Amino acid sequence: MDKNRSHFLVRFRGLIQAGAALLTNIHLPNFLKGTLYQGKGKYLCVPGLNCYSCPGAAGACPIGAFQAVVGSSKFRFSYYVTGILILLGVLLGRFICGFLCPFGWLQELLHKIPSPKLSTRRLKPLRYIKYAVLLIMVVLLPAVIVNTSGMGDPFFCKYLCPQGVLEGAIPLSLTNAGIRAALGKLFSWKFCILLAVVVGSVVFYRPFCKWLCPLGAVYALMNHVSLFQMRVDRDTCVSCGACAKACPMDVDITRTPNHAECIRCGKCIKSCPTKAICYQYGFGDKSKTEIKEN
Amino acid sequence: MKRFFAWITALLMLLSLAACSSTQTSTAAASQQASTSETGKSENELIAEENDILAANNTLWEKVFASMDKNVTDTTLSSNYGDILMNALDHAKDQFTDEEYAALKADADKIREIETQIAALPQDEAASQSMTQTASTFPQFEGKDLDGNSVSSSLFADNAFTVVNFWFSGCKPCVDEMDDLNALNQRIQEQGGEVIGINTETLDGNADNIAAAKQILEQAGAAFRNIYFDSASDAGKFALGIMAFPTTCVVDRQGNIVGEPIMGGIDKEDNAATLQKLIDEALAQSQQ
Repeated sequence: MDKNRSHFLVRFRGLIQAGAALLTNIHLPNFLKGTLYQGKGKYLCVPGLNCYSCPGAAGACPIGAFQAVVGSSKFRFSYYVTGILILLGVLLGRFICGFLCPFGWLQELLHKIPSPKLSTRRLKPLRYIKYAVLLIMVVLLPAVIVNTSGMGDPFFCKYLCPQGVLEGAIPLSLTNAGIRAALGKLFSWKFCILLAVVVGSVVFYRPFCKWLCPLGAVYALMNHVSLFQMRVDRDTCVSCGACAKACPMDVDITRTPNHAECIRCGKCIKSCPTKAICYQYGFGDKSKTEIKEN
Repeated sequence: MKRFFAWITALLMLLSLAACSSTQTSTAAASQQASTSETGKSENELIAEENDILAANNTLWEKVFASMDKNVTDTTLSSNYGDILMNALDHAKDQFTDEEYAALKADADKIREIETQIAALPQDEAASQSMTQTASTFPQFEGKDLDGNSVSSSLFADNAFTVVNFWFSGCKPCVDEMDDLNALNQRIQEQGGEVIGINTETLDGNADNIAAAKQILEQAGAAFRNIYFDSASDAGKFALGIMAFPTTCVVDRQGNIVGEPIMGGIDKEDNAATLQKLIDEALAQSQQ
């Protein structure tokens, strides 16, 4: 991908995010009716974190679908959803976080609200929480803690996911009296999490993506092997450090262009005074670049 | 060249998805297709056609309408509008030439045909609405229990009240409340009540799903009746329109749903209390 195309992607990122959020939740009339789309689209997973129970949702949430299969009595692991996640990870990696995920977009919009902004540079160890969330709440607990029929709860959806409250519980309960009557303590708990993420997003950049998101964790692991990569041209780079300073995910792109935390937002591309950074799609072209991974 | 191969690989991987998607069925909740009307045209389109026919001979029809009996009775409301027009036309026959009369008669015939089509349209909307919005009558059904014995909506009349529980086999909260439902079934027997389970995956008598449902019921020691019917029937559409599981409702002897259906397991305290309130209400009604 040449530099012009990289700049084009970065410039229209906001629009792409809005479009992706709309496409992911295309069944808009359902918001008014308080019903769910239950057609064949739900057999497929959307790339971003987007609740199955959102009235507008066009597909299933990969994390939700994974837990549903793992938690069922028939299966202990979901090869189908894992396959989709690996595929998406190889094709796009955390580009999905930066460009396609509705919940990431929401956090970014919230971050635009004027307020004192806090750096997350010192909070880097918290990044590892999301891998624990993935391993424990998404993979292990639904398969291990089961009832007599061998069925487990979707622990992440049930106890942690703020997107489920925002997209599922809130819009459904507004229009559906039966759902409203069913709201209980779990709703209050997750509403508090949502509130914390919302407030947190105003002062921190994408706190949920950085520290908690199990889907982000999957794509982070795939970032190294993704076809979608960052390229730093060593010949033109003047090592000024502007890119590292501009990076909202606390990555030094010149040292680790395919760092697990890089969501391909392109702020480094924009900040580079010599235009040394661009996106690259494919198997890497080492004649021009030296990709060093630590 | 490498980039070219990368794109080809990417494309191939995407295409491979198409192969998976059609066979895989084990995602999240039970995904059900919304039923669609089998007739090509909607009611609104047919009514628009009628209006066009009348508009074509507007001045003549005005004369007919002017001579019509303005007393609307039950019979005029329930009979075919084409017949009504034909009647009125015969009364006002002498106001028209033979040619005009023939044209109007042809129009009335067409309208009668369209009316029959409208009457034959499935009453989808009422049945497919979610439970909370529908009127209070439980839709009619003819079906079987999981052991193959015939059942129908007349079973409501045999009980003082019936607790109907909608569930599916992959739903953990549903399975978790089975023993409570069984206990409830035993407790309400002396009051003339009964718990009926409807597993939405067993609709249309799917043998594999019936076996799975039976296994779950057996494991939970649940002995209450579970039934199924055609998914295309009114009750079937009603069951498939439910989007939160488990959903439990109370039906009185007359077949009316009492109050609002309860979403969520009745093993939760407040849901159990709500259910008891609905049962008391149903008992009071059946004793009247």
